[in-house]
Amino acid sequence: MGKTIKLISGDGEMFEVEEAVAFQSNIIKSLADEDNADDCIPLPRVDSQILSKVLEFCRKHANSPSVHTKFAAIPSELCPKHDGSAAGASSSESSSAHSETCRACYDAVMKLVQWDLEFVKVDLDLIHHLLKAANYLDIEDLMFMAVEGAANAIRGNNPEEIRKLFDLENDFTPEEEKEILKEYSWLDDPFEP
Amino acid sequence: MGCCGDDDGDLLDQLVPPESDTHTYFDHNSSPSPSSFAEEVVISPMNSNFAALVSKDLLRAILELLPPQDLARSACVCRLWRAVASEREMREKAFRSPWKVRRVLGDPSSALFWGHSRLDRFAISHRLRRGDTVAGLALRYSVQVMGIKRLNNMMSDHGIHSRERLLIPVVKPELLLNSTCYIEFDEQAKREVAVLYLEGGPDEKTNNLTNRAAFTERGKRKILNSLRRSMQVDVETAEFYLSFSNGDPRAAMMHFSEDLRWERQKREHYIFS
Repeated sequence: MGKTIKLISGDGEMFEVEEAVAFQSNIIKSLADEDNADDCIPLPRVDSQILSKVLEFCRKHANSPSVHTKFAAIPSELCPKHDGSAAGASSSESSSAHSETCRACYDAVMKLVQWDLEFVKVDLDLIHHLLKAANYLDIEDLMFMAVEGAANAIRGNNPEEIRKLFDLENDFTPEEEKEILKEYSWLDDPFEP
Repeated sequence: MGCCGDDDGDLLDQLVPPESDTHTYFDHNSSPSPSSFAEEVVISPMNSNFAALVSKDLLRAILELLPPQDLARSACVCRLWRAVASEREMREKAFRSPWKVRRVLGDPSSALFWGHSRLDRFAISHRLRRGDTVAGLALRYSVQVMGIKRLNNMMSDHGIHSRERLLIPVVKPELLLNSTCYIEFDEQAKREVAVLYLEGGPDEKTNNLTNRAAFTERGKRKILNSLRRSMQVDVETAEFYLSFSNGDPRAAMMHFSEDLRWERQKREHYIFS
């Protein structure tokens, strides 16, 4: 059984999670390394609602390769097929590099990507907070997906809709508005050259 | 993607009107210890203000994922977004990204150029040699004779040798993979084009076949079939996405879903030519 880490949210709630889950965050990882006596890490800037969502993501990713890992670099330990059994693998597989043709890994990665895409299909409010939390806690994969989620909200929308979604103010001066109109008039023209 | 360390807070100050207090951009350090800002915003559903949460670097990370039209629309949202979305590098990235072009050099006469990157924005430069005919070139590049003539504003098949080069339409996107393109105004086509030099150009073009050198034939088949199943496409499409993702299936899938969205918008806003 893995060691656990205790995290305290900004509003005082405690979350106890396995190391592998918590260490998705590079910040938590480095703080834990600092020989904390009771392994209790305060996170004053994240409240419990967001933290629980973040941990949900981390739990899913705890035993998966990072989103940026190329197939050939996935270690055997993370492959669902080789779970636990190291020896007996084919001669071409070393202990540190996984075969890039492993179908089990392939399917696992694809499934995870699909889960991630669903995870960020939430309202923009939550995306904002996940983005900030991922940035604050330095969780690379969550950052990647939150950014994707935010981009998703922008795609296909006109500026007014984007402003509404992101709660942004139109702070252009009248002169700037004119400039923009000139520069981007082609946006409404389907027949531009 | 990773954590954004440095934040250009001073640049932001230039954009934000001094009297505005809705835009408070928080700097972020890598450590969670109290930063230099007195008012620390707790990341909570209660504090819901995207303007307060997003720095220029984060915004760049988001806008980087957008296709050219959406990037252009983002520039019309507010001052901060305009500042980021109008950066040449952002526009170039959006333009390059669907075809995985490595670099685009040169500056177009108007930002309109960056507005979309359909294949007709690109063209191959073919330096004419003795004996070249339009029909022969059409065969060699697997394009239609009409396509070459239209692109170069040719009235007839003859007289091409008064020209130094012909532009050839790009029909095989693999040619753009990892390439360097040059924005030029072509006198014959009478418009700006991102030109690809396949031979004798100033840059060495990487053969896209080297991307596949890593795979054995059998291994490749396995990956392709798995990818094809997940994306529900034909082998050629799966091959294309895999080759430019460098054997990274997750990247292939992300690019594919991004392109699907791009395609959807394309259909909504433009007549497919």
